[in-house]
Amino acid sequence: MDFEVVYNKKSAEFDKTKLAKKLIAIFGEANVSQKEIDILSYSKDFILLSARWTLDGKVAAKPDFIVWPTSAKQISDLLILANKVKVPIVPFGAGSGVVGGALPILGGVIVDMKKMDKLLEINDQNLTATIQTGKNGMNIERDLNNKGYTLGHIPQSIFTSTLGGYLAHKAAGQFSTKYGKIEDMIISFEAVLPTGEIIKSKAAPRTSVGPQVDKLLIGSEGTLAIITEATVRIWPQPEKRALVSFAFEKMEDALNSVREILRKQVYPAVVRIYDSDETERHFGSEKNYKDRCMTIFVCEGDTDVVALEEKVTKQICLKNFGIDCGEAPVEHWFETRFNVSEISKYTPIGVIVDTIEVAIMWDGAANLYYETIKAMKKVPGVVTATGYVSHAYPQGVGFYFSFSGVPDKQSPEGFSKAVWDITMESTVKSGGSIAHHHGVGVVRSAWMEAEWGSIMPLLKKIKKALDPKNILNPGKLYDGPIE
Amino acid sequence: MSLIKKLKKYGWIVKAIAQTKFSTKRTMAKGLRNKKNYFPKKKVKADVQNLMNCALCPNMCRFDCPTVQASKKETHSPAMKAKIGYYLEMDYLEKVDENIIPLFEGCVHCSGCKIWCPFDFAVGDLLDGVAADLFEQDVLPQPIKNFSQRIRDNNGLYKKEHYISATKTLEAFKEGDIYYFPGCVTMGNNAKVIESIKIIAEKSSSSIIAKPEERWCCGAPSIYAGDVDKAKELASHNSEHIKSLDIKAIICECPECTHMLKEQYPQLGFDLKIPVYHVAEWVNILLKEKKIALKNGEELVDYKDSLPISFHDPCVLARKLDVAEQPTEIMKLMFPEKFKENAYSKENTHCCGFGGLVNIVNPDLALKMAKNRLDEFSQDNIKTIVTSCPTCWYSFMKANENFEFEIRDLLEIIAELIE
Repeated sequence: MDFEVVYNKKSAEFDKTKLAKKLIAIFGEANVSQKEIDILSYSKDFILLSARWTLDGKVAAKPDFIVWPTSAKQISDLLILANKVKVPIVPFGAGSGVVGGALPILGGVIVDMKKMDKLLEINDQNLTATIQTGKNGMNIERDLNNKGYTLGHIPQSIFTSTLGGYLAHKAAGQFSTKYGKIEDMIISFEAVLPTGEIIKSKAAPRTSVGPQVDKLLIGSEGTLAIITEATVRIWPQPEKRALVSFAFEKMEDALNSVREILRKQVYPAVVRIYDSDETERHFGSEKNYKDRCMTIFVCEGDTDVVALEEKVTKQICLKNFGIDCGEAPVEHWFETRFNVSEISKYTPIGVIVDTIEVAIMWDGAANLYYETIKAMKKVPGVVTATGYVSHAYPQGVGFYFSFSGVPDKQSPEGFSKAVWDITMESTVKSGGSIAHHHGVGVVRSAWMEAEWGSIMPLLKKIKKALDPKNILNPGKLYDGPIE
Repeated sequence: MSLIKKLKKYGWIVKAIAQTKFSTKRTMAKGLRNKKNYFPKKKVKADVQNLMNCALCPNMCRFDCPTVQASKKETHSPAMKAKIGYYLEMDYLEKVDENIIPLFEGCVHCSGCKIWCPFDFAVGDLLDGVAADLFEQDVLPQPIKNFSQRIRDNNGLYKKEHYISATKTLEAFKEGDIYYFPGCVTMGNNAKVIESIKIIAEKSSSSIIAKPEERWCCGAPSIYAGDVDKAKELASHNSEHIKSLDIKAIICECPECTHMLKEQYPQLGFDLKIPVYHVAEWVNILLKEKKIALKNGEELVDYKDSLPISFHDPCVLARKLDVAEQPTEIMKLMFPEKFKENAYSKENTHCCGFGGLVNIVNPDLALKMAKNRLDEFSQDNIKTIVTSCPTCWYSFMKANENFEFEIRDLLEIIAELIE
């Protein structure tokens, strides 16, 4: 069967036979594939509609080759070659991105980074670890845990994602209020630029020597560089963990509690506020939670600090009319936080499920929540539209909106786009940012201009300057809507 | 889950559906009706529902899959293997070697994925069903066909002459109320283990009977190769000769055999109705019943250069049979101070690489996995790795060329330290 390709509008043209020989010369025969079964395996990421496409015998986008580099030098050679023959190069970690960032929408060569997955060094004195970016997140955490440390980067995708993916998409984990996001964790890096130069930054606690190049590359989704190695900060594993949960009648009370806690410079590692539907979905309809917003906190670290954080957290929640629900809801969250079986359950019965995360400052948070839920529910075919706060900062929050529904009179793609568009629109209107931690990929490409406004031309100039032949992950971020 | 609990759990969705327009409800009903379109039209052996569940999952178990950790290929990731299996069942993929081989080289049947699966299945078990369908359609790659034929020809993994030394040793087990079912790999490669069983039996005054001429392969390899009929024939033959004996228990030194006799035979229609124990369980019982005692190996000169020592839990033993604590308990008795537990032990163990048929279709990948596993031990600075599975022992012996470990079977050490 020929699989229909969803993103196949303008495949790049190059001599495949010649290119195969040159790729083998760089990587060796065992590290180059153009087998159909491998092509199929790399024709996807976890853009949520891809589950629908899997059942319908479609693939998202097809690469022409897959290569597995083992060094930055090989990647450099590849990029020099790619500039000569004008072939798209798409870096690939574990393909768990949910926005299509790793999809080879113009074909070309997928660079699977998984063979570059060594934990190179742990420096106890500096509290840093140097890691190759193809390493799986859970395997990083396990290796660190075995030696008494943690990175503290625990996204829901930790089992199925890599350090490179985190850096490329500017990821944030569930424990980020305490440990920070990936951009807070990185100390220095090695990367290969689109024209093949290998660059390496110096490890320093901070510098004041011109612009921060690492911040330019982090979040560039493989369009400005392939990051091959990173030195990240690590922490000793926490001594103590306290689990706190409160249920609030109003979303505003929950938001205020979290805002006041952070204002006091108390940073629980995990902070999550679920709206009443999400509360029922995750925690059931116990008397204390029913029709309320469950808010959970995990405080962890030094015993004395945790005791103080727990005390302040509880005091503020009680002051804001929260009902103390004890440890059980947080324990339940720990047990179920990696359960992502919904897609498998609902896709075969025609239901489309997706999540959209956005960010907003505190003064617009409640408004964004209510307006977005209202807007999502207006899309024909939407059955559920719910939201929760997944990340919190002294200045604002990250909201996760989830929807499920059936395309009434549209295609699955049209239905999904309608909900995405209305959510993006509502976010832009509320003054929020269109993505908190999943990135842009193909699904948000149309909204880049609205997000960046006057800065967009600068981003395009940067891309043009670093990648004049548009080799690295072409078609993404800078080129408008991807249909 | 009771109906009331289920309704309560999904109450919020029911409420949401009730509030939708009629046209939405109609589309949802259509979706439910159309689900059947995602299943093969013909009757198949594979569990297509769970293949689909797995194929649509974002690969949440991949980090613990030894195959994808060794090959680094998406094609070997658990969800992709299920997707390939699903596509083969749906006839979306051509049944050619290139499309089928990844299912065999990509899975060691270690059930490492099951620990993380929200649906509680192991990809390997799902692939068994696909293999059975492909076998029936006679489309399996030649190396798999040859392997099946080898078992059909020999009723075992090897030719009879390969078992001569083991068969001779097994002749000592003439009469008894415990039946010893030796595995093909032990009989073919490590008859020392059988000697060890003999010593333990003597010291514990256990009476053991074995029937080396009558026992056939347990059938596990045939299941992996999709040859269910041969597996049934082997099970039927073994079951018949075992049932003719007046025994109260069965022991196996091979976890695969233990699992087949204990768990799979009843499913194939041959319930032995006799307790089946792996030897680690058996020794543990003997110790608890004070029928044997073990010396402290750390006090013996012979072990001076072999310590610290660790144990590799065979995946079938620790995960499929849930015999995870007993080997460690025994090891700690023999090496109270110098036993070092590996970070990936008991139910979190990693496969030796030689599970399933990986070694048949891609020996390099199998060896790579074995080396990865030894590498995990090298970080503990230990001298000796003990295991309790003939296949793990065999794979580590092969992979050890890059390391300098002593690779031992648990029974050998028990036999050396038994009082």
